[in-house]
Amino acid sequence: MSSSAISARLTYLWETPQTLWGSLTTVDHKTLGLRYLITSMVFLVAGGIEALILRLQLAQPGMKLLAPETYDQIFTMHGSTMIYWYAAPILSGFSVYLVPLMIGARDMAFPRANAFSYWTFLFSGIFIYTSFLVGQAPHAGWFAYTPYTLKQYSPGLGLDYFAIALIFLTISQTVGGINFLVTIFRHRAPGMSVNRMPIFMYSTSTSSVLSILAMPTLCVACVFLLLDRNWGTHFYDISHGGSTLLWQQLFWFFAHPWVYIIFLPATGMISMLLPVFSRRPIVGYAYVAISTVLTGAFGFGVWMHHMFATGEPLMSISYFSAASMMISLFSTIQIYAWIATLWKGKPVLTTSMCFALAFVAVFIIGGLNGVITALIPFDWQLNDSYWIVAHIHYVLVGANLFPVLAGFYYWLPKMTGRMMNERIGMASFWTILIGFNAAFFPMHFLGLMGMPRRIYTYSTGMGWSDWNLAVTVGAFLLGAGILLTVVNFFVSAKYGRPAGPNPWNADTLEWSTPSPPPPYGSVHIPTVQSRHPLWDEHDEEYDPEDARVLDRERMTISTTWLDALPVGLAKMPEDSIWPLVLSLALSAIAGLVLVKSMWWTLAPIVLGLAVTAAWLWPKEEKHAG
Amino acid sequence: MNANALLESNGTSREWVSAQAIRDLPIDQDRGTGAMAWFIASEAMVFLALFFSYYYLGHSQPRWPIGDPPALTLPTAMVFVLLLSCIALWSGGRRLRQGRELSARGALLLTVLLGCGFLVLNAFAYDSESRIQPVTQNPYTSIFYTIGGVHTAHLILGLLFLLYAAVLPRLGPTEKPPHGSYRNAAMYWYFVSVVWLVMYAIMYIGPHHTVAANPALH
Repeated sequence: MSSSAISARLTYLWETPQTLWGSLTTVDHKTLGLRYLITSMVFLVAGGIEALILRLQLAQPGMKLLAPETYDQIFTMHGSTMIYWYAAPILSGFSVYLVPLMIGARDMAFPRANAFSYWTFLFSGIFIYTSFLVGQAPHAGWFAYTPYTLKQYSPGLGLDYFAIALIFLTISQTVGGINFLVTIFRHRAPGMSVNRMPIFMYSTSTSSVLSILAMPTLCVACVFLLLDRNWGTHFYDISHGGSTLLWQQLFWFFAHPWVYIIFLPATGMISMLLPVFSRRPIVGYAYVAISTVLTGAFGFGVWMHHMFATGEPLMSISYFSAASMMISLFSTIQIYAWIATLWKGKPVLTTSMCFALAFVAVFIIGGLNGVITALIPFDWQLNDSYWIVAHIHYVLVGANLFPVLAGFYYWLPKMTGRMMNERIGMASFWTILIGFNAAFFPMHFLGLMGMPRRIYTYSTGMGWSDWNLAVTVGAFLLGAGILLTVVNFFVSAKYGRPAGPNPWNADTLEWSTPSPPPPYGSVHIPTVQSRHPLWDEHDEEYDPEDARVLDRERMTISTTWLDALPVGLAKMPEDSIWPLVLSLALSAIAGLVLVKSMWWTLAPIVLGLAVTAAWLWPKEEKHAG
Repeated sequence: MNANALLESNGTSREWVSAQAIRDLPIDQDRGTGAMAWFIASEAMVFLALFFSYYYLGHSQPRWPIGDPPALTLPTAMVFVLLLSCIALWSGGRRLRQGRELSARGALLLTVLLGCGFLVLNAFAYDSESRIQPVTQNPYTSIFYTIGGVHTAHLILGLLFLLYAAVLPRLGPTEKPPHGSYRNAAMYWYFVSVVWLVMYAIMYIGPHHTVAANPALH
């Protein structure tokens, strides 16, 4: 059969109609991936605007731009937005878009669950932002320590919003994590054994395991908080025998692995694009893969370093101090692998590569001030000062935003079909790099000079004014740099030079499809014989009898998890409205719990169960020929 | 074609997965089971966090549980009801593998019935406990009833899974998804049953043992 007839049949099977109904029901991982990316970028901009408002308030001593209560709400929403609704979802966006293409599958293992995770992520973000509309945004920082968050100290709805929105987001992340794991360990192209997987698969699956195992603890902590605040239990309330530190234990048991959830996929992206721009395979593939997994595993054993100042036994905090220093070994292995790849290769300085190099530099600074902070006496000195603010921004912006931007410049040509403008790209890169360092490096000095975090203003006599002004100028530069990249995206998506399938001459399977890829991915499910499919002699789509086109129904190949030997054909579901309806039912539950109409929640719960039953019920689906 | 044959042909020909091997592939029945295993892992972490909190709240108290330990009779009976339900479910799974689908459906319904029996006993047990110590009395009652409530909610979810599997058109290997519904629903039921066993050991047997070892606590 002619190949155009095959692609016509595949398109008929996989294409979502370009209608409103189609856009609400689609389960295409490429559409959902783009939605994830765009939505998280919107949250990045929202969190960024909040940061700039904070910096205006702190630019000079004694400013009166914000009232203290408003300042608290805005810094809480800045931190929460960036950490929960930008940093992890943006990486999910890359993974949702890229994982099936990189492993040669037609879609994720559970396409409808994929749509459900996206909608749930979107609605949880909208949900927490509605708190601004009623003027009661959460105001206790992104880690919401008790007892301050209990009802008697924080009346109003703010902390209820916080707790409910996080439980809501947990659902999205958990479903997403399960989906990634089954996809990666069930649907890799025949021959893509674990020792041939792109490093990005290691980082995505490790961070998925972390999501699945760490987020339940956050959920439990938030349920306790809601019960304490609204239904009279005594988990955190010391006056009735509860324990304030219980919140911190549960929260950090979640939140330290979370740091790796928002960091590991980003390093995975660096391990994909840095070798391509160094024109050689990554040095120490196995070491990079293993240290990714070990970072995740050790990530569960360091949470108490956030609690050195709470008076825990010395024995216990010494263990956590040692573990915290140990975990930096695994990141160091990755950093040396990247440096060696650069050293042995012939680096090409594209915008994407510049962001990757800047990431390595910035992350080393953030890593080093982290190692210092792991020293208990030093931590006692600097806890709750601007030093910590400097550290968290060096590691989180350094380890998340820089790789994300590198990833954008690398993969957007695949997603939009057009090259990004390099000139605006480089301008954006330098603005961001200079702005970032001007904004966050002086915070080290401010911390050493004793400036506490989370103060809404300070007086002239403290001697902090000059550095604070520098920080504010830097923050605006950083914002301008990001704006340049956003502008570049819109300009290039319209006027950019066509990218072609593989503009960077890269090695992994996503580059074998046209840009942007058709709804079904590649025509023939590829077979893989090496770690670098597009750099070797093997023709991945060689299939003279058209056995691997699977053009009768929506299908993809299932393979074994270690050796990727084909073991079955997986039927893939069609577009469906149920994921969106289920997500709306969850939103209704969240809203009703917020206003404490508990009996009314039964209605959306029953609706949700009915929707799930309809979703899973077997039905006739499209056939081609 | 077995796995070794696939591996040996690797490298010798350009097309190491033959067209025939692909055509012979069965419909994959295992995806959902993988997802269920990870879902259970996540749920297990919920209970781990709850049990951690139980001990963490207890370690700063002079005596734990605060007040008398919960009564043992009903919870012990509930252990046996759950064990019976698991045996019914397991034997139903065996019958399904032998192709006796109707009998497997019967086993599902029997499991659901026993599960409902558990829920009734559960309601009686919490009712009599909460007459002695209401939910909002202290940290012990807070965590005791929260763990109980979360477990009951999971148990109801498990029952709904089983009921849904019982009414699906086919239980065995299927052409259309969902695949392996019996196995996946059963996995979840075994999980909520094991959680009850752990709860029974930690929250019921444990405190009685402590009190027996330290008569001064009486």
